[in-house]
Amino acid sequence: MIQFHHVYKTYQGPVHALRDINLDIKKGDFVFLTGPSGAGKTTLFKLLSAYDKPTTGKVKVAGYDLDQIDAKDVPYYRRKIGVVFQDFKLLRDYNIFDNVALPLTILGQTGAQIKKKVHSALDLVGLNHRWDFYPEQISGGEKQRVAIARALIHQPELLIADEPTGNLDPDLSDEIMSLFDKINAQGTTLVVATHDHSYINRRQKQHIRLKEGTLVV
Amino acid sequence: MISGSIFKKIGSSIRFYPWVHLSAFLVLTSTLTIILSLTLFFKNLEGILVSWGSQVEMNIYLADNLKKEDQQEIHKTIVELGHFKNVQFITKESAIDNFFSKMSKYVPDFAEDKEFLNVIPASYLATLEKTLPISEIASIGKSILKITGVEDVSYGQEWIENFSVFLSTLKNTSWFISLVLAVGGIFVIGFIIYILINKRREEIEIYELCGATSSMIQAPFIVEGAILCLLSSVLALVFSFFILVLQNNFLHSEMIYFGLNEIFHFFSLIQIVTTILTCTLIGGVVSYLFVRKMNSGWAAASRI
Ligand SMILES: Nc1ncnc2c1ncn2[C@@H]1O[C@H](COP(=O)(O)OP(=O)(O)OP(=O)(O)O)[C@@H](O)[C@H]1O
Ligand SMILES: [Mg+2]
Repeated sequence: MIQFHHVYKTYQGPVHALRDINLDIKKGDFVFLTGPSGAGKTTLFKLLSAYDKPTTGKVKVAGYDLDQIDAKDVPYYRRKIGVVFQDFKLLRDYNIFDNVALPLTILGQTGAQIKKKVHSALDLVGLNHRWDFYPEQISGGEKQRVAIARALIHQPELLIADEPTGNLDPDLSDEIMSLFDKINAQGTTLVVATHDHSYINRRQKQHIRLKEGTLVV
Repeated sequence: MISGSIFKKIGSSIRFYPWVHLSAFLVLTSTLTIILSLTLFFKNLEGILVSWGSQVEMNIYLADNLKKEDQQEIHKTIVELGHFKNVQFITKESAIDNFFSKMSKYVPDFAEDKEFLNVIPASYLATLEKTLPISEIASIGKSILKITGVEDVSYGQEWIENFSVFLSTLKNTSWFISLVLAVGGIFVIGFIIYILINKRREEIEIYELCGATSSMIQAPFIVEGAILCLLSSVLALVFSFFILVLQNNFLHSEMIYFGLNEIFHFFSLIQIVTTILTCTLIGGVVSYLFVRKMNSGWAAASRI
């Protein structure tokens, strides 16, 4: 599902955010990504979501060569994946319902279909009672759950989540993690960045560690 | 679905940035009103200049001491030119009488001055048969002047020529002004789209990250630009119509002494439709050019 081959990402500075990353994540895997702040987790996710291209190296995800993908193919790739961004990236001027509905609207689904799916996605994250609120009217943890609902709504093949439980209390974190387990059980590949090692130890999942832009085994 | 969401997006764009839209609308409408009014004004003025021809009378002054046959020959030649509906001979005596009755009121001494009166020659007063352009009137004048026995031809040529020079200068100037305004208008549309895009960068980025194609993102901006120009051109046409009505009122109350009882006409239906369609098209195209520069599918990445 995901292959990284000698991937480097260097920002202006120069900041070597990623150095010689090699990865092979299979379809249906559930992989945790950890590392201290500034290790390059978000950078790696930016490459995964075709938000940015690697400086050198090959990135292949779901059959797309992301290091040389054509701009016009990017939208179609992005429709296949779901992304929970560290900064949520919710639309300020849209209510929660419309935010979660966005990927379906883009896919051109009808109002009735969208309504059903959005309400069941909001149910999964426990936010149905807030559907007509705007992002500024809800808490950080609630925003995070809206972002998760939006990333799941179109049943992507791959779900990547950058610190999806960063703003959640332990109980809610547990719920979200078991939600991820459920999605993974349905065949979705997951890559989740987290600081919280307790989950990883408890779940015996695959674990990728980043440190100063390199993989540590 | 797609078109439904385009209009929903335009609606929310207007709701969130009403002042941007209002100012764009006002600037475009006034620019277009000026351009349309200038165009109308000159179109009509040209018409008036042409139709003046029908009121032009030529005074054809004859040489002194012409023989009767020569004079008849001249008359025949003038009539044979075929431009005049009426050629009237005015004898020296009747010219003097005429002059007398007109001028003695003001300057009684004239009546005594026989030598001065002797200066007034016999002439023909020829009235043009139909509307002719200035240049043609001038060339008729020249050909009459060539006839032997004709001393001078006068039809207010200096006045008409000066006026047409003045008019063409004014016309060139207003062409230039219109051009500048049109270019300005195009930039206004472009900058509005530019401002709206910048204000909504974040939104565009999120749309992109959720898999929206460029055309999905661009379509509302393009339609918005087109609608903006459509509405502006309709309103500008309405305004220039009212300006025309004012001009006509002015002509009738003030200019009637100049024999200008003409009526200025508005654009024809075809011209109106063409104007609206052209403006709409320009709005769409300009928006597209600006939006295309802004959104390349990598808006998010290119910002890093
Ligand atoms: N756009 C950028 N320009 C320059 N340097 C950048 C840019 N984005 C990230 N970096 C640098 O790259 C390194 C990796 O950043 P990244 O955001 O990937 O870390 P992270 O592992 O996600 O950290 P955190 O856990 O705090 O979110 C950091 O040193 C950061 O300063
Ligand atoms: Mg990060």
